[in-house]
Amino acid sequence: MLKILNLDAGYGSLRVLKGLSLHVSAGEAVAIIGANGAGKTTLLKTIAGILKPRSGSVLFDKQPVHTMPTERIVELGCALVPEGRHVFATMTVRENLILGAYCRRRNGTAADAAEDLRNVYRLFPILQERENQLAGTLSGGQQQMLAIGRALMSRPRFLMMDEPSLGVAPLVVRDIYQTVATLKHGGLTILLVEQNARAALAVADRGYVVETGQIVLEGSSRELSGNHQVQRAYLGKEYQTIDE
Amino acid sequence: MNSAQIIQYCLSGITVGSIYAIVAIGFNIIYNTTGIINFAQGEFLIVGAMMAVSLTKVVPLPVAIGLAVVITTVLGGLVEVVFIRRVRDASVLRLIVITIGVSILIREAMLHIWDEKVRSLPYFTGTDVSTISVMGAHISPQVLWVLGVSAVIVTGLTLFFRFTLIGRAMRACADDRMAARLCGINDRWMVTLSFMLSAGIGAIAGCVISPVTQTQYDMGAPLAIKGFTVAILGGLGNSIAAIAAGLILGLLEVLMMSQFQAAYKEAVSIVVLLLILVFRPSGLFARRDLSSLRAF
Repeated sequence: MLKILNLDAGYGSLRVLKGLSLHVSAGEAVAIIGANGAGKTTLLKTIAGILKPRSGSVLFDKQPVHTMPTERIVELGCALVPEGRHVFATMTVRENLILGAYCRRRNGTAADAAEDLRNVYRLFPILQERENQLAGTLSGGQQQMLAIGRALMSRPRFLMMDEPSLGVAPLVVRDIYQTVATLKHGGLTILLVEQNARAALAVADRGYVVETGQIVLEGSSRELSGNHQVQRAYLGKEYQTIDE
Repeated sequence: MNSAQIIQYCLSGITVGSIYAIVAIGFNIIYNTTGIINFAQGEFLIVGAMMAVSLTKVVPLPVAIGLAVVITTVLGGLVEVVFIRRVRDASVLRLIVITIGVSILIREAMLHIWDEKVRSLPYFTGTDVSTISVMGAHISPQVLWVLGVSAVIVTGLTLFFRFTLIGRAMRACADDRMAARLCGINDRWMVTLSFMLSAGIGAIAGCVISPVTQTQYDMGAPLAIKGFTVAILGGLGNSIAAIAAGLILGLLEVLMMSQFQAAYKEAVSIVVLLLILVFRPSGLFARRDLSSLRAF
């Protein structure tokens, strides 16, 4: 579904992604793990069209999308839940969700949006309770749910999530990851970026490890979870436990 | 002062107040989608009125106003496409300075096209001497036009921003540009649209007030200052509050005129602006929860 070839991207004179390649097949959940500053967020922003790559290509359904504006990419069914949530703070929860369906305004009818709204509320009942509250006054976890819900309103076939566990209480992280698993079982293709490698690998089928803008390791989630290097660097296991 | 005089003063305060409010609403529309203050807003009013004055020589008044509004709307869009959209690394401050430049450009262009003569549109109904008496006070029917048009504009805009998808999309751009793009909103087009909308509304306002205040090429800047004061007083971005703030400023000015010398009137808005910026920069009617979520 997604194929990235030799992607180079960055900000100004800073080269963040250095010839990065990866692929995601339909129906898969793929995790990208790596430290702060490895280029994970830059990668997702480039796929979503927020950043333009310097070279390399992003193919979505075999179609080159790296030259398209973000709004076209969203219309193709590729949605991003950005890092730091980015909900519309001065608008109500309901308005946030309705705007999520904006990209379908030409082909979708209002009735469809109402149905999607019901689905999101089923997934996150708390959002229905808070329907008329300003999004900026929600807790971190609720804002994360809203950001995911808003992305789902566009009826994506491919959902990218950037650090959904960041700044969220541990109990809520579990809830959010349960939802991610539900979405995956519903057939949604998912690309997940996380520093919380344990949570990400638990839900993903495969994973990539990114270091300084390049893929240094790839494999199934089981392989990566069992890899000593990954355990030491990203799963926080002590040398001793590995030795045992 | 007898009661008729008081009513007379109040009515004229309400009239100028609602004019200021419409100018303030023009500021609010662009602020709401871009976070910038468009200092060329006053010029849009004058362009609209001047255009209508010229067109009345060839077509009937309603048609002239309609055409003037359409032309000014297009001009607003052009200003955005030519001067705003291409700016690289556009900071809010840089864009605001550009709008000041645009206002000077438009003003000078108007001087060349229409010279420095004072003009005005004819009264929409009746003549400059016809009056309606309200509880002993006499007002021009044009005042009712100003009040009515303000009311329609504010109601229309409020409904537009709150309940239509495009209106919500424009608010989304102001709130978080990247998130708006991720929702599939074409942010560049929303900004253009906001310039068109506020230019069009400015032109309507310019035409409605022209019979009362008359129109000259350099009247945009003073109007913009009043409108800006009102926008800040009410709380940037809040159009309903702008109406209330407009009425407050209008009534204050009239009070000043009736009690002291008329020349002090102009100082009122500046004093109000300074006081509000020092003591309550988010505006008189700011919702505290909302203003804490804003950039400025």
